[in-house]
Amino acid sequence: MNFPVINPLSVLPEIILLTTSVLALFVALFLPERRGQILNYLGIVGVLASIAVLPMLWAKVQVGFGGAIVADHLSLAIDAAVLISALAALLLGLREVEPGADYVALVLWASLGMMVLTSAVELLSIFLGLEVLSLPLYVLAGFRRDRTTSKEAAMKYLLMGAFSSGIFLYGLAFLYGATGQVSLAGIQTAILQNFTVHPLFLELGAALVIVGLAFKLALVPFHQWVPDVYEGSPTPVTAFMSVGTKAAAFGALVRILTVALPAGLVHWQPVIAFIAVLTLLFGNLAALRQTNMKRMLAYSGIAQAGYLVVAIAANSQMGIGAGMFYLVAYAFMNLGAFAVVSALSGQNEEGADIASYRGLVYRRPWLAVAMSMFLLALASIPPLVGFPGKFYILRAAVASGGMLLAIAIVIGTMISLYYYLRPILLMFTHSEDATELATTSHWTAHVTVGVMLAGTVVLGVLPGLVTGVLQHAVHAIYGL
Amino acid sequence: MLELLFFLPVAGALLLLLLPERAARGTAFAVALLTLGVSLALIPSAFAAGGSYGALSSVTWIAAWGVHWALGLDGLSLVLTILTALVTTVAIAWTPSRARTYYVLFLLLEAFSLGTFLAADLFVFYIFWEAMIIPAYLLIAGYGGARRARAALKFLIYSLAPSLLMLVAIVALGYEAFLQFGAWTFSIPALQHLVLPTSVQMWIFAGFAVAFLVKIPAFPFHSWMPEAYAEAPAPVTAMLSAVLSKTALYGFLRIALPLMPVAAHRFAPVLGVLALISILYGAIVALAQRDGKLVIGYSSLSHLGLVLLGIAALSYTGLEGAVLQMVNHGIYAAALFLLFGVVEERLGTRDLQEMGGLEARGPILAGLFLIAVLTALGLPGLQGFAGEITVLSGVYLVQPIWAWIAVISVILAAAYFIRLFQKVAHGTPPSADASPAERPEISGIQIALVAPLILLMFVLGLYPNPVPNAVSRPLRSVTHSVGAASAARTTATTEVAGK
Repeated sequence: MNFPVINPLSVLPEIILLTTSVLALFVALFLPERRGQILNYLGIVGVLASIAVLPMLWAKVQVGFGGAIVADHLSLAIDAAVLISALAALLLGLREVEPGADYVALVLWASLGMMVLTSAVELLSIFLGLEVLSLPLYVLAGFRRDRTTSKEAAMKYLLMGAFSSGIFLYGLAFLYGATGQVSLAGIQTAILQNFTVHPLFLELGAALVIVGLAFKLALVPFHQWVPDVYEGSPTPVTAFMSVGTKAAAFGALVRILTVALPAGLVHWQPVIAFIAVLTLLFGNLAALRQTNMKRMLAYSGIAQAGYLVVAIAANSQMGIGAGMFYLVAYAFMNLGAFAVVSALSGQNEEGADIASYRGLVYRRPWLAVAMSMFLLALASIPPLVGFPGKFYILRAAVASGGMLLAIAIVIGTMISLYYYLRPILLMFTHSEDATELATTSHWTAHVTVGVMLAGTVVLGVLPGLVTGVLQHAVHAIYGL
Repeated sequence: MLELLFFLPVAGALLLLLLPERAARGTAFAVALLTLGVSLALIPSAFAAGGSYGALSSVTWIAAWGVHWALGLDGLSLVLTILTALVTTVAIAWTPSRARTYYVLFLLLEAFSLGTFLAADLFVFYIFWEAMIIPAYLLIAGYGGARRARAALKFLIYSLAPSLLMLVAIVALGYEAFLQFGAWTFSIPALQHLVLPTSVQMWIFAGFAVAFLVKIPAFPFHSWMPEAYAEAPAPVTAMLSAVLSKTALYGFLRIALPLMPVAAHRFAPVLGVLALISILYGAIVALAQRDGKLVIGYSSLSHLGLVLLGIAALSYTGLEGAVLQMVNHGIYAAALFLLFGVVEERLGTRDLQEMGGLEARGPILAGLFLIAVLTALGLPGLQGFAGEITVLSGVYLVQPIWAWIAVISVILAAAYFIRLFQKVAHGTPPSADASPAERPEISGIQIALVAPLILLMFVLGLYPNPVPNAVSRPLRSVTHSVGAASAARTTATTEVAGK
């Protein structure tokens, strides 16, 4: 029997994560329980090492596992976003969740799954990635066993996640059935050469695949699980899910749609455009009424995913480039916002109430200013990173003739101004009887906030620092 | 050198963060004064021969998107730059003993306003346009009156939401440039070479116009104004009315008219009618106001409506009058809001029914206020008159009816301004014995600060020529593009008629 060439370089970052997680589990056996924090630091070192090898792999595309896994510029760029969110989850987790090997290992495994999902160019490996990413997250969502909301979140996430995995798998089966191919490039060739059994199966397969990933990206109408899960999960996990999962699902969606299913032959473009508009309008409208910061950020995250998908709907190289940039922007803004929420709430969840942010600037000036910056960035106010992100997407939408998409973005952003700006106003309003938020927060939370703030400001002023790099990722997809 | 105008206040703001609290006011004033000095030193470079700008500095910012960090200075941006620097210098030091943050925000507000006037690239323009709103919002939210929170949020949402339409319009212009020139660009001089079909011009113009009309404000987009003007501290209201409103009017002259000339012709009647409604509505509401600050606020609505009317006339004289009136309004509105702020502080109220007797207790304050009031109502010999008469004559040449309707507001202005002054200065305050302020008179520092504004009211009243001279070349180029569009349209119509 012939075994395919594995080429360990193609999964080097993944191998580092896996080794670290196993090491953490092993070390935990010999550690006294109160020293559990060491495991978090070990995980952080592992993630940093994994980030460090990304630039080394940049020079040459690595193909592994007989062509099932590719470490190209697209997957490396998304790996970076995933690893940064994993870093945030571990840093914030130091204080907010009970330290231990299980938390560290689960975060690392989920990241591993996310990275496999974006590197996979073959249907079964894609599904493998999706499952490896999902299973640890079900456990992480319910990590606060002492809280009902957390258990509820885990249950909901598990049921909806299993359901969406099933749909996704069904879609993959249709794609295989229609073309007889498992590799994305092979599917495209089959379609181009008209080898398909029946176009209906192909379209059906494409639709089911889109739905399956839409669950992970939290696109309307497949978003219902998001608010409860985001609210109930421990904040570091929410931050991790909201950025890492979306980044990976975005990468997979882009890869499947552009590599396997050329838009000229499979008509996904209007569907994606419709879902995008629906998502950004609904997310923004629903966020208006929220009183809990985490729920508000959940709906805001839905709306933000809508902007991301507009970039896919533009169906052009510029669109994918814009989407990649927006993903980076979203990672900084959103992780920053969740880091502040985490720093303020600590182990009790009262801090997530928006009303408790009243007068925050007089109590915690640094966190209040940082939170204002993140919210302004999410509202795409220049010169913060959300603005060039929005500008890039608008530019792609206009250039692809999607004037209606551009108008939808503008309407969505207008609505979002209200709920992004209201907490800022509250933070700057003085009040004597303000609810005291927990006043201690771990230094790691401040480090996370600081890093994300730096990214939000620097990339806002100089977006050119990463646009060039991301352009390579676009070329990777289009095979240039 | 141009960058200095923007970076100086920013650097000043950063410096303030390092200095002790008590040095804040003096340092902020020094920085503002220095900025004013720089803006005056730039006068010669604004008129240097060359391209459309006298001075232009451009650096590639985001190469992939065709965005340049470009600042340009010509006569038009020069006069507004000087106005901004002058008003900031007076307003920033007006109120004693504010917290350090106040001065930091004030300097940032100045920097971003200056940036808006200097921007020679639409991307840069948009960034400053949006950035300017944040310090203004924080100044209202942090230092305003009792209902400041609501007023600030309303100001913020009204300012930011329509700007997004402008953003789409800007992106669309960049894309049209890509289609026609083969590369994305947002440079204002370069975009003037675009030849756009009328339908595209129409909606791009609309995107800009809505954002501008809200910011001026003009009817029916003015509903943020009363609350924001009333709740903001006096120096901030002075900045809102004297400087921020001008950025929008400047936007019409710099962007909307020259880049979309055909659409400008199509929309001119709409703008003209909105301007007329603003003029009359503002005047009538001012007449009925009990809140003295809002009398000045609504008078601004009316007077800025007149500026918009001059722009809508699309004739050289109309534009010339509009710019003159922009400068004039900037000076007297700042003086009115600042002086009324002192009046309010001394008399402890803004309600005209409870005011009075200022003339007896603070003759200098009352006298300065009288000069500002007389200027604002357009007394010949003072500065307000020259602008009004130029706008009206420019409008009369194009649309006599507009001019006739607008003249009514001049009469109403006399009525509400004299009523304002009478209520404040004459008679005795109904609660005279309650708490007469210990120092009813204006302070020496404030007299020194407002003196240049008062002086300019006389100087520009008797000799307004420097302003029209400075802006003649930029305005000629605006009327040239607008006129060329109208000529092309006339030819097209004649051709159609001929067939």
